Amino acid sequence: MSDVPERWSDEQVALVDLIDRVIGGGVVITGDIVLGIADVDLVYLGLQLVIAPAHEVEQSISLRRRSA
Amino acid sequence: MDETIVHAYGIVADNEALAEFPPGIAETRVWVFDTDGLGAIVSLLPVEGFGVSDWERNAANVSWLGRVARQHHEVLQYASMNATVVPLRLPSLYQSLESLAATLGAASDRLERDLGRIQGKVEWAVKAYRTAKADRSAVSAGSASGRDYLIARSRDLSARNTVRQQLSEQVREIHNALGEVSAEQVRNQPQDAALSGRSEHMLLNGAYLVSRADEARFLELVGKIADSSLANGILVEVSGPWPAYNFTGDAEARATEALK
Repeated sequence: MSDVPERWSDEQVALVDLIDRVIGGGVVITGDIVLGIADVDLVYLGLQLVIAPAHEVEQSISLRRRSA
Repeated sequence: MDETIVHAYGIVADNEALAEFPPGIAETRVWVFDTDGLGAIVSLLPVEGFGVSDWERNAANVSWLGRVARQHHEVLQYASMNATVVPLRLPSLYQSLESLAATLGAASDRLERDLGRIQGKVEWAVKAYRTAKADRSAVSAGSASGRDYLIARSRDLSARNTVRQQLSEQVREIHNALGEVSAEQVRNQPQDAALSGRSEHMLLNGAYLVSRADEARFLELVGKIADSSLANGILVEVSGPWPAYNFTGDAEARATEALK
């Protein structure tokens, strides 16, 4: 436990960390092909829909509808 | 030749020599496209399969999205190990290299500001979770009568609140201590347990922009904190180095907004 943590290889990067940063972070430069914020929300909520337990799905759907 | 669309991964100064990129999204060849003063890390994606309608259709497709996100990240990971790179948020699509160049020209001031901000620094992530130990300490044994039950329950609730306050205070101290060794730090919204697949409650989802010269010191401190926190029911984990996803653009403002 006291060892300095080892650096990881890419295979170990958890999907949730990846999505958090790759879709939630970084710089947005609006290009000529714009995928709006609503689409990005869809991406994130879409992920929740697939991973979340059944009882939480309903809530995600209502969130999705609100953001649409 | 089949129709293609430009995908930009990140921005570097135009004189960065980056030669051996891993394959990009859809196994495409990645290179640095030099524009006036800035370099864009790009690859050409086939429109068939990666056009706007494909992104929309696959918005809820975890295996498609996960694969694309991973390839995007791997390109940035390679670049950030060898140069200062401003990561672009996925998806970042352009009709042509010419339109990308025009877009970068218009945004060059803030991109150069971002490059300066993260020069010589890397992002580390530190998460803290509440362990079962912290939960157990707030639960008392079963009670015989109704009155005893109510008294015990009230004691339980107040004990739980105390534990929660103590944990929250300790986590704030951890974040501040790590901030002392960092150039910048930010607390992101804790990840949803359903998404992370972790049963422990997340207390801290922190990102730290650390100068390369301070990295060893930072990691040593994380190790020390991890050791001492475990006895208090806090599990500390570190990952990185990451490209500076949390310290470019408006990432910080978004984190602040999310915590409100």
